[in-house]
Amino acid sequence: MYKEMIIESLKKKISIFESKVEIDNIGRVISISDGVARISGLRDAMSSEMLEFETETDKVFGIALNLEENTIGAVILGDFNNIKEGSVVKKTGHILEVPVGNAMIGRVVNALGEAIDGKGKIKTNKQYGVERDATSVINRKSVNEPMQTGIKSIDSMIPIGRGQRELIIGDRQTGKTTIAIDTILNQLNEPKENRPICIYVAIGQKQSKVAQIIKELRDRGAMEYTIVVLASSSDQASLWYLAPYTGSSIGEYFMDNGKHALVIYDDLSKHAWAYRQISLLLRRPPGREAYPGDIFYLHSRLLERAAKLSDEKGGGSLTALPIIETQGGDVSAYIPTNVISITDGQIYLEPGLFYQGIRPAINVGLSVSRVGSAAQNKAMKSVAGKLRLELAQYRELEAFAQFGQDMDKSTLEIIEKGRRLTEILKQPAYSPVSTVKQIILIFIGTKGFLREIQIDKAGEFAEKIWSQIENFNKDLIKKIEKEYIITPEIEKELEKEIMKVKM
Amino acid sequence: MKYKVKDYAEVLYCISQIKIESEREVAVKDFLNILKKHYIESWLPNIFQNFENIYNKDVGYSKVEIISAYKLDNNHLLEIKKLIYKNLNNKNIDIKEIIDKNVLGGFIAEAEHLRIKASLKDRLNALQF
Repeated sequence: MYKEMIIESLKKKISIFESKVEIDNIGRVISISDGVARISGLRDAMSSEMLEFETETDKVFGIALNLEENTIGAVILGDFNNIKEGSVVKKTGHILEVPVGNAMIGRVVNALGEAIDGKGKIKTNKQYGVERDATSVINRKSVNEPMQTGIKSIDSMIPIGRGQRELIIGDRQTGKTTIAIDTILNQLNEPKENRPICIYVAIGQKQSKVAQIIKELRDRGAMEYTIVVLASSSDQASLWYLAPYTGSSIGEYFMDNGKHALVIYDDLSKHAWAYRQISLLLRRPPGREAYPGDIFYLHSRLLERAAKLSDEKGGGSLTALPIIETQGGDVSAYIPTNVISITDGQIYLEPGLFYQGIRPAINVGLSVSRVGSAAQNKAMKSVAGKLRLELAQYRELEAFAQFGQDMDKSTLEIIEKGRRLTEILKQPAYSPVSTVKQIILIFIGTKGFLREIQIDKAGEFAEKIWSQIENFNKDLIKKIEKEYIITPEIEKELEKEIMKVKM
Repeated sequence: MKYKVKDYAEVLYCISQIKIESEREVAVKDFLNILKKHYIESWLPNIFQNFENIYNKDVGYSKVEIISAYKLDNNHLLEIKKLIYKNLNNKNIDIKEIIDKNVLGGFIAEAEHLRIKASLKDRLNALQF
C-alpha cells in the first residue's frame, strides 16, 4: 500500500514536471594571480557586488572592485587554487552581507561572519551589508556617556565617551592590544543592562596571539558579551580588508537596536597594507608609500560609522578603538597621520616609558581626547582636573632635574608629586580598575596625601587605603557610586579613611 | 603614453581592414617591427586573443556549444537556436554539438558570455541546495 502511494505520488510529480530554462549572463576568468582575478563579460555587474566563481569542486565568492571598460577586477574570498583561466563567473545580484544579531555574541567568526570556533553554525536570519552608510547628522547626538576603560590614566586624563573614535597608537610591543583587552574586561564592572557588546577585530594577527586573547576573555567571563572577528595572518589580503567592515556591521546592529557596542580594530596599519596589496594587484595607480589614492577614504568611511544615536533613534552607540602600529615611533608617517586626523583623539604609547617600567606606557602629553571630557563623570572631573597639568609640569621640570642642579622648594615639590602620581597611575596588564577605585586613588594622589610616602611605596599605600575603604566603609563607595559627585562631606570622609591608614 | 595589449590588438585589426594586399603586408611588417623595437614580442598571443575578440564583436560572431546527453533532433535544435539568437543578438553563430552523458537530460548551451541551462543535471543540483 505504502509503495503504491509513493509510485503514485512520483507519477503525479512527473506529469506536472515543467522544463525550466535558466538564462544567465556569465563572465569568464581572463587571468588570476595572488587572489585577484580579471574577468571578461558581466557588463551589468555592480561595484562591490558579490561574484560567484565556479570551480570543479566548489563555489568560491569574490567581490567586484574594479569595473573597467572591458574587464572586471575582483578579489577572491577563499581558496582560489581551483579557479582557472576560462572559469565561469556569475553575478549574485547583491552586495556582500554578513550575519548579525544576538546569536553572534560569544562567538569567533571569520571576515565573512562564518563561525570558526567549532560551535556550529550561527543561527540568525538577520543580515547587514558589509559596506553601509554612516549614520546621518540628523540621527546623531553628541557624546554624553562615558566608556570606562578601567585604565586609570585614560579614564582620568583622556576620557572616552560612548560613540567616540579614539585611536591607540604606538610602536610594536608597547601594550596597544593590552589597553583594548583591558577595556573589554573592564565592562564586567558595568551593570549588565548598560554593558556594551564588545567586538574585537583581529586583522593579520598571529593565530596564537588571538587564541591567547580569547582564552583570557573566556577565563574572565568576558566572552559572554564579546564577539571576535578574525582575519589571521594566514588568511588572504581580501579577508584582512573586509574584517573591520564586518566588525562594524555586527556592532551597528546593536547600535540600531538601542544598545551600546564597542569595536576594536587591531590593527588598521595591517588593514592599510592589505588594501595596498589588493590595489597594486588590481593595477590601481600607487601614490605616497605605494598606497592607493583612496586610502584615506578606506579608513574614514570605516570610522565614521562609529556614532552616538539620538534618543529618537534609540540612543544606541558604537564606539571605535582603532589601533595603529608605528614604525620607530614615527607618528608623522602616512597612515598614522591619516587616522589621527579622522579620530576624535589618540592614546600615544611610548616605548621609552614602557622600558622604564611605566605601564601602561601612555604619553599623556601627546595623548588627547577631543570629545570624551563631556562624558566624564563629575567626581572624576573634580579629582583629576589638575592631574594632566601637574604631570605636564613634572615632565618638564624633571628634564632639568636630571642635570643635578639645585632646585627651589616649589620645583622640588612638583617633581616629587609628579613621581608619586606616575607611580599610582601604573597598572599591570589585564587588571582594569573600577571607576570608584580610580576616583579614590587619584584623589589620594592629587590631594597630596602621598607627600611623606616613599616613591616606590606610593602605589602600595594607595592600594592599602582602597582596601581599608572597601572592607570597612562600603557606604562611602555607595555614596560615590550614587551620583558620582565628590561632595565636601564625601571629601571629609575620604580624608578620614586616609588618615586611618596613615596613622 | 604607455600602450596596452588592447591598443595593439586594435591597431592590428585596423591593419587587417586595409584592402590592398601589398600595403597590408607592409603594415603588418611595420607592426611586428614596432613590437620588436619595444621588446614586447611576448605579448603576441594576448594581442591575437584580443584581436579575435574585436573581430568577433565587429562581425557579430559567437561560438556556442550545446551540450546534451543524447543527440538532439532537428526540431529541438531549431528551437534552441532560436533561443540563442534571441539572447545573443549576433548574426553569425557557430554551433558545436557535444554529447555528455553527465547532463542526464535536456541541454546546456554555452557561449562566451551567455549560458542557457535546461538540463536535468542542473535541476538535480538545485534540489541539493
